[in-house]
Amino acid sequence: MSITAKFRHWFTPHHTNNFRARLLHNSGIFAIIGIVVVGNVFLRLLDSTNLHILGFTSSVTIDEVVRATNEERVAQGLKSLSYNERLADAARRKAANMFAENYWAHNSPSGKSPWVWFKEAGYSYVYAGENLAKDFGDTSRMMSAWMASPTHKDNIVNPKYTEIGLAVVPGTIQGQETVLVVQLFGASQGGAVPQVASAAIAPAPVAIAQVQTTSVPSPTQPLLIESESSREMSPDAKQSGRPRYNQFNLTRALNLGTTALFILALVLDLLIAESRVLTRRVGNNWAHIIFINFILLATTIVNAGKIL
Amino acid sequence: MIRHASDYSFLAILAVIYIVSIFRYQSTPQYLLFATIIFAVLYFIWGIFHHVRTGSFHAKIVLEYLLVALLGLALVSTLLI
Repeated sequence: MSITAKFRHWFTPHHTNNFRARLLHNSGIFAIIGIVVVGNVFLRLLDSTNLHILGFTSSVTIDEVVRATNEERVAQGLKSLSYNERLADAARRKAANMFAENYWAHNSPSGKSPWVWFKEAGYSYVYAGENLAKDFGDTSRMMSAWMASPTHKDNIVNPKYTEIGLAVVPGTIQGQETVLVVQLFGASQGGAVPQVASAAIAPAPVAIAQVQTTSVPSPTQPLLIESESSREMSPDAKQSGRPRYNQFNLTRALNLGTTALFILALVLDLLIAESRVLTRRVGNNWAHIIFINFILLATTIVNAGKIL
Repeated sequence: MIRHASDYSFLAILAVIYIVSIFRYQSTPQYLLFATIIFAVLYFIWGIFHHVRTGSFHAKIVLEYLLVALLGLALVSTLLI
């Protein structure tokens, strides 16, 4: 069978396929599901091996996150946050602790709250908050996820904060290679924000925003952790020169490719069947096209990343 | 004029509700999976009702809608789980 004949058999209604594109037969749809599922299992297995073919890559940078955060604030009529090196130091300490104690939470297994790192970095705050994110491939998706979460958004557009500090650190948490983003907000005691001693924003279960009125006199100590030392540095830049592929993006590409073939078969089958006025007792191609396209749209919204 | 316009309108409304909820709760993977399962189940039911209404109901068509619904579920769940 020539390539043209094979294409006609699999994608168009023809006497060889009982006038229904072979890919749209139940066995054909089952085969597509099989490719999606088996391909996904294969990619996950590849990711879990020590071959280092797959890994996590991210284009998130500190500058981009600061800029995007300030854009959101300006859009809400708020003042931009200024970058504070002590807050950044606190964020790096928090990230290092998360890798060291191997946890994905605001509080460490040994009971350290996020505010410990503010104190250790010597940042005396009136107001402070923390947003966490991991596994995001780019800044815009991460910001979208934070802004879609009311508690994280509350931190980003909180008028009480005047400063921001960030750490974007590659590493491994709970066996998964990732890029961790720690975003800390604060208003220092010497800042422009008037103190509201009795006001309290209760810590939320997801994003944390908390008011403290105590000073934190502990001195800043040198930080000996593997972390971003430059605001310009991307996590990608820290990775070795080996070609690496993101398992999530490969899965998405596999799904898009197989679905594109399915949609192509649906469209060609529909157009040819209607032009030839074929009478068949089969599923409704229009309905399948609507359903699958909305599912595809959903897969473009789904993030690999997680926020806390 | 489109035949069975009400059926397609209902399906389009379901699809729009699904995508809006996915966008709204994109930061909660469990919700995304739950919403996709609901959308897939409703699509399967929609298919059966549509073919019963149009007089083209057949067991093979039921299986076809089931498989397409499962394909949709597989496409999203492989990204979430």
